[in-house]
Amino acid sequence: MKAPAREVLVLRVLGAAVLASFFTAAFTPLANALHARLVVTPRLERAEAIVVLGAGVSTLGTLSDSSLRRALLGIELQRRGLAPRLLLLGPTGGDVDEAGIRAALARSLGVRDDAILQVTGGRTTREEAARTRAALGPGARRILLVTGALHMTRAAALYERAGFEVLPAPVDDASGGGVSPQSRLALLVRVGIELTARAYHRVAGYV
Amino acid sequence: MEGVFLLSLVALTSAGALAYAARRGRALPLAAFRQAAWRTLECLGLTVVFFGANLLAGALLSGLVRAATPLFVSLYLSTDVSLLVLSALQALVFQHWLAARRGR
Repeated sequence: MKAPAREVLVLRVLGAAVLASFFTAAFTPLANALHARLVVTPRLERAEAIVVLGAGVSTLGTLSDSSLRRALLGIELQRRGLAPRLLLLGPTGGDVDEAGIRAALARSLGVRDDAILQVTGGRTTREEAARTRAALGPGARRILLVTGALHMTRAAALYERAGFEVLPAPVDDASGGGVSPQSRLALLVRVGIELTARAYHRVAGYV
Repeated sequence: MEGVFLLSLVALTSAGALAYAARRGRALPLAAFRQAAWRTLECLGLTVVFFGANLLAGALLSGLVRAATPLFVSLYLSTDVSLLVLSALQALVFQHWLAARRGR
């Protein structure tokens, strides 16, 4: 019998690696353990402002699950009196305005209108940090940063680079406690994306 | 628990398919299983290659559009799970295409 070509052998090895990775990711707690190592402990103390990062909105104007969770935590922290100002971010696209939708939600949940700052136009976390600095002014320093638990390390580094002292207020929007194969696979994808993003930011010199 | 349940389903339907084929006089020989396993691994490997190439193309294209135009294409666009399904489809088509060329 003729031996398979080298390319075929490489494909078989890759295929075996995929299969092994799939079973490990879906049927063991590997993803949960990785997630637990990457998330940041909350530090909920008094700050000058609560900064809620954008996380997406549908074309119909419905906040994504992450966006809603982040907005609700920001609102809760503001209502608890941890900061006088609530900064709501989100890019604008077409007719939808994530920051505006979140601001309406905050008002309906009892946050005073003059406490809300809407910051639009930031398309990446780096742009959001720059726009936050512009909105709060050069004197602002201590902020409570609300974003996804996985995203927090990278976001905090970008905000620290913009001159802020960051108190992390992470939202568990990646379901780190999920035990079904589907939730573990989804979690591993999120972890993979975040690790790639961190590597990219380091290589690009952003953090 | 969910994992055991799902794997049991797959084992059950596989056994059912084997029994059905045997009853129809088309029993699957155990010797051919090895060949089937190799081809499955090759297809999975090809999926990884296409998926990697698609991700790389997505990142390069996003960078190019950002640099050359005022448009913003998010890198997260390439992380859509449908790209993985499309890559698997690409791999299946190419594998069958190659097999047809070899007359397998």
